[in-house]
Amino acid sequence: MERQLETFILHLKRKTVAGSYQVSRATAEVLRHYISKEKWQNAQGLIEQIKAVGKRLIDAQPLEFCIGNIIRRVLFIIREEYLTMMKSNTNSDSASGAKQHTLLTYEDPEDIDYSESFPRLKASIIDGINELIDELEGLHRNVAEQAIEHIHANETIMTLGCSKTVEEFLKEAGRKRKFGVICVETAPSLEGHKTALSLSKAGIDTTLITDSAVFAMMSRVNKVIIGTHAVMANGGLVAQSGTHTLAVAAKYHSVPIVVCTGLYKLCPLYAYDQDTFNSFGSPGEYLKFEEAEYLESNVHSYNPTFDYIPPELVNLFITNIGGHNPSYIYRLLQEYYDPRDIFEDEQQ
Amino acid sequence: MAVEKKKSGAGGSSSSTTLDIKSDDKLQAVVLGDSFDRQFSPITLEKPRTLLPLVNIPLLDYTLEFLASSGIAEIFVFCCAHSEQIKEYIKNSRWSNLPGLSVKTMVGKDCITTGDALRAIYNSHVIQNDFVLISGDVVSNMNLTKALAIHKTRREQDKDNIMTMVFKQASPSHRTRSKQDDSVVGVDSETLQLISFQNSLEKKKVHLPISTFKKHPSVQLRYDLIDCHIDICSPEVLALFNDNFDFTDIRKDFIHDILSSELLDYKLSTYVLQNEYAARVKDLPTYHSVSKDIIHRWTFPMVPDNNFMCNTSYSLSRQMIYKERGVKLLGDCFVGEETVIGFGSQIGESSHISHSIIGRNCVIGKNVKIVGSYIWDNCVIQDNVTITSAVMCCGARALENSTIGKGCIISFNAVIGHDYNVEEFTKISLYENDDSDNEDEDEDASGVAIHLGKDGVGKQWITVDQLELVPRSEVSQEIESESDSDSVCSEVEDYDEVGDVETDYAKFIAEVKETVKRGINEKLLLENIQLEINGLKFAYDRGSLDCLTAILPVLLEVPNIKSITLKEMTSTIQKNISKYAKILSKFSSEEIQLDFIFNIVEFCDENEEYKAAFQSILHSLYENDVISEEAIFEWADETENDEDEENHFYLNKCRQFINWLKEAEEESEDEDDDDEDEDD
Repeated sequence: MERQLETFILHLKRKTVAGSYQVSRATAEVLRHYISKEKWQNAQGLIEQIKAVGKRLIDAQPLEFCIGNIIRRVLFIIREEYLTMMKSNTNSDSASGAKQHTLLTYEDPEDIDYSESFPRLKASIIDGINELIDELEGLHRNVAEQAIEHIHANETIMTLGCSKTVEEFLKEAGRKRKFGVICVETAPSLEGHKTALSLSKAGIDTTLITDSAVFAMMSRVNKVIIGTHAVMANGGLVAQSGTHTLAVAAKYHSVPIVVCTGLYKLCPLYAYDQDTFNSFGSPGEYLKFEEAEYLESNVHSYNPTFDYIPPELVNLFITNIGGHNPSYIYRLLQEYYDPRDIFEDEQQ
Repeated sequence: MAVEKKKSGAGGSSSSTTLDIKSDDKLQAVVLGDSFDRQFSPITLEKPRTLLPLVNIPLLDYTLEFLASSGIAEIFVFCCAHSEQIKEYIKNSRWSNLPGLSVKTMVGKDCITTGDALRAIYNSHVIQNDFVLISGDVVSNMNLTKALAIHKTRREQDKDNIMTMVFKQASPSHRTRSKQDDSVVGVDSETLQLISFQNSLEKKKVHLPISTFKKHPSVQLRYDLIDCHIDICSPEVLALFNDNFDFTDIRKDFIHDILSSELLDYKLSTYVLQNEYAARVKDLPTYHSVSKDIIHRWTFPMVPDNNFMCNTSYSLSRQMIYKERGVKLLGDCFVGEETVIGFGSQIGESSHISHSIIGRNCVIGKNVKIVGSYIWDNCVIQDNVTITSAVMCCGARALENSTIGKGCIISFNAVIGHDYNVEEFTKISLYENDDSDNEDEDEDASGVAIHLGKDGVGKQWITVDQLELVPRSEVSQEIESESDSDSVCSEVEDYDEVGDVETDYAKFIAEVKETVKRGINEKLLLENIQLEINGLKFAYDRGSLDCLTAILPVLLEVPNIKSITLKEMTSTIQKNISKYAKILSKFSSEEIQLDFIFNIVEFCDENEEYKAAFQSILHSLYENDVISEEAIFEWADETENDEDEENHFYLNKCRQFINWLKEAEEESEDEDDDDEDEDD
């Protein structure tokens, strides 16, 4: 098991497993494997163990937020399964008076004792994680199903980068309706080219523009539909660099911004400025090494990976369980994560 | 040759269960853990180059991580000098138990060249397949899998393709290009086959035999490639090294031999990197620039904040400042751009740090100024110290108010005393040279006792033929003028551009003089001065006569020339000439000696002071075999027949000497013959 974990960490470090979706699935599978193979006594012990493993995984790639999200989801599943077990146990044991008692008194979540052991707990936790993996698998389809409600005929949509969720979403709409898509090329990775190619192959009317043309083109756009790297606790986004420009331009022209995302990208962290959760890539993506010597002594070259987009620039989130306002994100967080499952380093 | 094989850790056996690598074509790599040169002395006297920290992570880790992330399953680290340290390091690091990877060390204590190392590897029979041969100081993020695949297809097409060399494109004056690497690479533009590889500072011309063009209709000669020292080799390479026991180096011997051989039909290929990074830390200047490249993230994802070794905790903030956890910044200290600070280091109030790399657990006092320097782990820098563009190795200390100048190296645990000012380009080490079997040249590179201020500990270390961390100001001029001449001298492309001969000549003379003076002042080996002058000779395309004419005035320089007597002057001149005649005799040959004498006459004409000393100059040159008697006689004859009376002045001056020579010749004809032979 240790060896498998180590391999997974290596894959994360070397980015051989990359992209939120791949990473999430792999994390869920590794945790499922861990829970079924590793020895543990009770829920309390298991939570400690998963937290320890989780910390190592998060440290391996701290900016892949979905690792932490999946771990929290798994911890939440463990807690939930344990509580249902305990409840059904107490229900069958004691009389209805006890039930009334629990209804009336408030139980502090910190006081719950997770140390009791149930023989069937393991199986139900595994079931819970299987459901989570199913959710991940069906996510693109679930998001895409809502496309018809949001894209109308003859609209012009602008999108950026290369997100599978957005791509499926647009393609799904394209099957029923006719509309145009403007793809922003997203330098220096030029992922927008990929999206444009894929959409035009699906028979959607596609236009490719440079990043600098975003503002000029915005006036004729009806909706901006983008993907994101993570959704922060306040409803802000950590998304591919260039998105902020797009969002501000859309705000100026009062074009609604719709973000397509799976629930697993929901992240209980706050990003307070552009630098908090950001990383820089190699300047080699846009600058030739052989030319760089003349530049570097006086010119600095930065290649940021992400942008932080404050929540007031986002109008709607479309998740696999439906559409939500940015201000509703905190509620979703409570529904899927337990407030106790915070990893110390993330608190910064 | 004793080759012991050691398996470190349990990584080998149960590896392939989790990683999807087929065991039948397991990829192998050989890492040369020794550089076989002294570019990093005196640091490398105590620690191997591969374990020196580059941006606070040992160099070897970069190389191993690069190989491991490319899917190499078996790595052999071959170590010679300091093999115990390397073995110990690998044993205790995470490399010894990574899934899907086995790192083994091989020790060849007697190996002194790359050739010896490769022969030892051949004789241990561990390499069966194509393998990657890499130096243990290469930093790269290239996609090796692609290069391996290309090598494989080339080999399938033609069995004789035994090696693919990896190059990175960069302009000739790029900072990451080592000054030692001055390679002109000839490539077939269609097949990318290597046709010529010339790496020498002296030769300024590339010779391609006409027959080359029969085989390769179009050849590119490129001067914009960095040799990354990453070679994808087939097992034949090792076999060839084993067959030719005189091969010492891959670049110098092996490639040259393969390319010029008419018997063997082996082919070498090239692979030029596109958007990927690869460079070797070859010497101090490249150490400096590769560090910069890492900080500027050219090596992404191999950057500090990726923490790829899992034992660091760097995070990146604005202006390329990398800080590990637990860094203490006190009061109003200033941390400027392009700075890396390791775990547990503390920086005192009012201190200013920029463009520098600080290791772990360093203590830096108040009001310290550190710019462009490399401070390794556990250094102590007390209040009011200034450090500019220097290297301080682990455990070194700089006491209060001291100053460390440009290009200095303060080796392990050395201490710079209170108020002491370390001059530029000084190297200080505690290393005791107790190996008795060292050769003569080593003595030149040994410690010289030096006073390092109050409480200072260390010896000054003088090194020969070593490139400095940052260019010396005078050297940088030299390099500039060299690169100028490069653009003119690239005869391959443009014939019509010829530099201004007069200024070129003056430049040449000035530079030779400078070289000789520096050589004498720094007490360099005569051979090295010779070599340098020879380099200049080729660089400026000058003859030996010009060299002689340029060198002589330096040797004739006598302090306070106007105030001393003729006798004192002649004796100093004689002493100087006999001491440094070796430099002159290298360039002297029979054909030019006559002209040389005329040049001396000219020189004396221009410098009145030397007129009187002409005879003694001639005499001492004769005695030290720089000028033969035939040349002197010939000169005497020619001057005799000269109608211009002025010229007879010199002849009369040394009439006595010539007569003596004539008598000596008549007396012993036989000995004369011998003398002549010696002159050759």
